[in-house]
Amino acid sequence: MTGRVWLAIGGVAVAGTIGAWLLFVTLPEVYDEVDDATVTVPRDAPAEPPRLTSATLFYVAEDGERLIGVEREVVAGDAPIAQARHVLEAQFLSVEPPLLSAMPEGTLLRALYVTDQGDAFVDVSREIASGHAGGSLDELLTVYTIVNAVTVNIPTVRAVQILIEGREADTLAGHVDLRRPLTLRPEWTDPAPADFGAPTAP
Amino acid sequence: MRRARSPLSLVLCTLVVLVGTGRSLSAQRSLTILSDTGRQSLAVARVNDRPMVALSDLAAAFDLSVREDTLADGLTVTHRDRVVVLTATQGLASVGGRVVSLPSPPVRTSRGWHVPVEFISRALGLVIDTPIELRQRSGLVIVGDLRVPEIDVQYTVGRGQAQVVLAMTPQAPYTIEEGPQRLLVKFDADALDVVLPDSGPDSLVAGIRQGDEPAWLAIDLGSQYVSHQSTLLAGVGGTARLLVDLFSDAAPAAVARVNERANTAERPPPPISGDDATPAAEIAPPLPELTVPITVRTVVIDAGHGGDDTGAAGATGVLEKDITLQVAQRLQRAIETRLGLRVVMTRGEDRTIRLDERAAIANNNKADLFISLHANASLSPVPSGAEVSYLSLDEGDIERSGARLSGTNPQTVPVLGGGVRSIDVVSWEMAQVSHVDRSGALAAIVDAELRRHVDVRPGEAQRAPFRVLVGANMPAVLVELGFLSNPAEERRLGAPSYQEALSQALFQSIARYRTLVEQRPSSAPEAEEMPRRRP
Repeated sequence: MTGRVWLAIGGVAVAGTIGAWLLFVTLPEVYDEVDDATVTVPRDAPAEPPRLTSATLFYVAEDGERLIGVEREVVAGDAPIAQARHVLEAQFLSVEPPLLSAMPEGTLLRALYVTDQGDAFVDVSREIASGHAGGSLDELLTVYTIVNAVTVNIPTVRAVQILIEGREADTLAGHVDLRRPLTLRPEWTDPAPADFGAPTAP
Repeated sequence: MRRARSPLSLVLCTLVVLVGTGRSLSAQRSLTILSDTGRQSLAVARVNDRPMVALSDLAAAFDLSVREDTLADGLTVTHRDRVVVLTATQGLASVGGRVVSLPSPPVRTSRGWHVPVEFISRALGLVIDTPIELRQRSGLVIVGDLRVPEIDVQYTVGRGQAQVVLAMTPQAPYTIEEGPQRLLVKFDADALDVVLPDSGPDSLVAGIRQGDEPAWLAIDLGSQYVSHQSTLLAGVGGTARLLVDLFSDAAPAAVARVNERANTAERPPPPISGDDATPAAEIAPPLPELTVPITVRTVVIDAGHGGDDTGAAGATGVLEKDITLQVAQRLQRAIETRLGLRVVMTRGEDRTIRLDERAAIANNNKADLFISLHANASLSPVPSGAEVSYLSLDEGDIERSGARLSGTNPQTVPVLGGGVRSIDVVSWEMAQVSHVDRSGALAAIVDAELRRHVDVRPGEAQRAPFRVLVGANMPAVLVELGFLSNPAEERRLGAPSYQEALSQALFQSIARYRTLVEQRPSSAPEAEEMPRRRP
């Protein structure tokens, strides 16, 4: 009986040793070999640069009278809603003179929705209203900066409604009706796209 | 009683009456007595800061005899068998047992007894048994049944064109004759009760004055005058307005260009600079056609922003809310005093008012026009000039309103006397939809008048989705008075003279719009088809 016990203990010890060797030594080496075979860049290299695509962003012309379209490289999105988000994030960046951005400083994109009917709802932070200087022309240019940016670059979107802090808003500064989706309007936009330098990060 | 009147006072009195600039009686030094025997001057003296006339002058003019009763401390004024008794201590007169009140008792001065001018109309007519009317604003005393229409003369001038408006109460027949250096408007009346404008001479009109005959009005022509045209517009209650447009030599070519533009219905390119501004922009374009009949009785003026909502601000601190209120108040005065229309202000002081409330005020007052005033701003200091807009509609707006306007959603309401009536119902959200054409016509007129009076932005009246216009159930426009972001224009907007020019442009716009709609009388079927807003 005593011999059998010692034989069982020995068997268990041998099996544990073999298991530990397989678990902590052999398998990690196998996995390391797999990683090395599939990853072609060193582990400390930067992430793959995002895929870019061309988009038209809108800025206030030097004379302050209207918007002008400017071709820019923006991050490409896999779906229209992702593409619209990348376009607006680029649109909200500040720009260098002679371009002027109609977006009040500090305005951020909070959320974006697109319905099956092609209406986009762009939810922005409160700075778009609280930071607005007023004047109907300036307000028109701010609103149609967003409307143009989305409808021109995302063909499936036909109209844009601006929400502020997740809520429907009357106006930004007392003039332009924001209670319904707005379609692309050419009146406040120069038809010829302009060529200027790249926007800068805020 | 002896007539006491110096030659100098006679000359002064005559001059004042002829000039007749509409000063109040308190500022006049004489009255003019009009009767079938001619006209006569009557001196007015200020006694105890009140306009009074000498009883001796009245006695001479109306064949009265005056006797002082020292025991009764009064006066008796007699004409044939009729007697007026005045007491020196009370503002009362007894005329054949009938007591009439006077603003003050008679007063003795170094020139004898004086009575308030109101004595003429309240007591004297009873004594001489002839109607006497005292026109205080023009200082006329009209004895008997003479035809003396009130003529309010308004004069406005733009580049290449001027307009004289003669507002008649009541309407009087007239002819216009063009003579050397003047137009004579000859009224078929015994005399005129004229209020002339305080305007200096210019290149089209050297002056406006009463003519050589009592019922003539003379428009002295300036060096640039070439032609004129006149239009008579009948008003309510027997009133009428005679519009006399005067043109300079530059105007005909401009008129032809404007007409050509209207005929071809082409949108003209915006002027590139001030030098390139065509004369066509300086004169009023032909009135656009309207298909829906309306009239104008009530105008709502909406002074934009207010209270906590300051609107745009200039670099030196001029605020949009202040400019809009100041111009609105000027416009209100002009409309009320010169057009006689009812004006409702959405705000008459510096207070916050919601956008919905502004349209509601217009709707609840059944306004015929809605004018919203604003001042503009841009990120650039370059843009300048006034501008007018009316509502633009997206496809969705039209779709939403289409069913309602076509009558597919009628509501049945009971009517007084029994029965029901079917009406189309339009929500306040869509109220402006059915007025957009007329708003466009109004905007075109405002645009033309702004060009005549002040600097404007390039281009024509624009369409924009402005919130304050959406709920207005009448023709409605939004006027940007200028750019506070432009330093020079900020200074101009704060100047009373520029505010007056803006007010004049808007006043002329409303007057022309009213002319437009009144020249196109309504037809009942179209009126019945007008949509009605949801109460």
